Amino acid sequence: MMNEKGFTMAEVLAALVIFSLVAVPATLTMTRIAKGLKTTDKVLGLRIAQESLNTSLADESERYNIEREVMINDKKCKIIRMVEENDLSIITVSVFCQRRPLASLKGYIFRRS
Amino acid sequence: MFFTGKRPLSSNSLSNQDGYIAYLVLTLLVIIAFLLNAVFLGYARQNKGLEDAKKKIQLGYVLRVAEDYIGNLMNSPDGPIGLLAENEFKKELDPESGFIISASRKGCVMDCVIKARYKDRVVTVNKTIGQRHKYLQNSALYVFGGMSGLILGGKAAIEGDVHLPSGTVNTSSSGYFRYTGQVPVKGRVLGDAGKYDAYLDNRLAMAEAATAEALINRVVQKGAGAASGNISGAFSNPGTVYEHSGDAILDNAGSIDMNKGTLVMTGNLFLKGQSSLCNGSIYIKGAIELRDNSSLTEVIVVSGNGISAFNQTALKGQFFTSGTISINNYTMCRNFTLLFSDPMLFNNETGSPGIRIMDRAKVHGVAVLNAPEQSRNIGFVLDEEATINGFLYCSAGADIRGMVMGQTWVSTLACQYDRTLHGSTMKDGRLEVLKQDWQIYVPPLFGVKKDLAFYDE
Repeated sequence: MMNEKGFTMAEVLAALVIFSLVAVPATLTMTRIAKGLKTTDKVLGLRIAQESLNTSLADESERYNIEREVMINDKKCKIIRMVEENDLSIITVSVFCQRRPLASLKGYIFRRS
Repeated sequence: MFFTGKRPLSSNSLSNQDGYIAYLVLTLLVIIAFLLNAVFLGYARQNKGLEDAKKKIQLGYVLRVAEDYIGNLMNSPDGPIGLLAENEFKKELDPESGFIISASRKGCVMDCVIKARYKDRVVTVNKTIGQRHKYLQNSALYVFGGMSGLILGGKAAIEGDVHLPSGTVNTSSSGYFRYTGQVPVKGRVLGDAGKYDAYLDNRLAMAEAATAEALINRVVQKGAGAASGNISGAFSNPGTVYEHSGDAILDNAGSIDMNKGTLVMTGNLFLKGQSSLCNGSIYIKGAIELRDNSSLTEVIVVSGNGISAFNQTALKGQFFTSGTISINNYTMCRNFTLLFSDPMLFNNETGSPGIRIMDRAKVHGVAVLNAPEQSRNIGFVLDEEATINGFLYCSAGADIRGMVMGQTWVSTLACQYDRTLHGSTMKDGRLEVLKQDWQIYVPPLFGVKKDLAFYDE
């Protein structure tokens, strides 16, 4: 403690205050960013879109426009299915979570001649 | 002001060896920067992984619609011939996706190459086009002729569903047909055969026969001008077309690799003792006979006057004739073998069609006898202890005393007993449905509306 090369209590406290001033907002910002960028939502969204599209491709009675709600990681999300009927029908399934797009997939069907 | 008087806070601190606090702050900042970097890099990597996964899924949908497109073409009036006529079919689905299809034929087997595109990703897959009846997967027997009901005699037994035009399946324990089996049918008996399409589309076989006929006619015109020498050394160069006038006998000739070449003959071909031909096409005006451990493998054979195999011979490939195919004495037809007999295979010529699988012979593949005008005669015989592991189609009368593990499509079942032909009767024999949808490859030959299946090459 008598060695001049050591830290004084005041120095340590000062360092802690400076660190806190930087670290606390940085941690909060990182947490917020990480939450916003959560990829697990997107993985789940992609899987839900794939399942919904597979159902529509396999079952003719499932080929109509629809919008419905699902819960993804305790958040209310929306599945929107759009069907463009033509010689080549295009089915687009999109999943949104709080207006943020999570996934979108397209499937195609040729009408049998 | 937080420092002692001896160490004032100044720009000198950084250079001052005692200015640890500056180093501490810098270190912390570096750590924070590193962490942030890790978060963003991790996010970018996950995002790329997600984008890759999405591209893979989308390519799957493009491949799926390409297969659907092939199905559409195959069911059009031009059918497979239309698909084969073009070098490639190109289809843009939207600005991001599209596919290119090109098809080729080897006998009745059709292969296709599908190139699917989604954004910058392209995937190429090779598939073999086949057929699978999705509604008849558990069916052992399908009778498409006009017969009413089916009588089982002897030890006849059926495991799987039975589809008849009308009537039921009964066992007969009177007269010639004493039923000695136990449970004759393990499956449903349905009178719904009319619902299904039993039309045989023999255009692929006809296309192969036409190729053969043209080459054979060329050799016939050359007459003695064509070679008549040794076949053994004729195929040293790949893709050779070797024309041979008259008969040829390969006796203890060993294994001859045809190098994807073609042997065209005006006479008959005999293979005896340890002689084998493989990897090519054989077009013959006469007949082919194999004996004593000889073999024909990986070949497409077109014969004008029948194909016979005796004494532990081996076959593998596609065998077309307007005559009779006779498979005998422990002959093994390896997977995949197509036996195809049709009297109208050649222009202006009719043969005596038939298929006889006798004496413990085994066929792994598909046997097709297309002779509807002979529906009152027995054209197809599957002898006791002979086996077909696959698919049987017969539009003439069929006498089944052996075993079919797979699916049997016949116009009628007939049993000959004491020179009397009894229709609608199956005496002995066993028909068993066996995981058909993935075990048996059926070429695209059946039905106007084909239920196509795609097999990986």
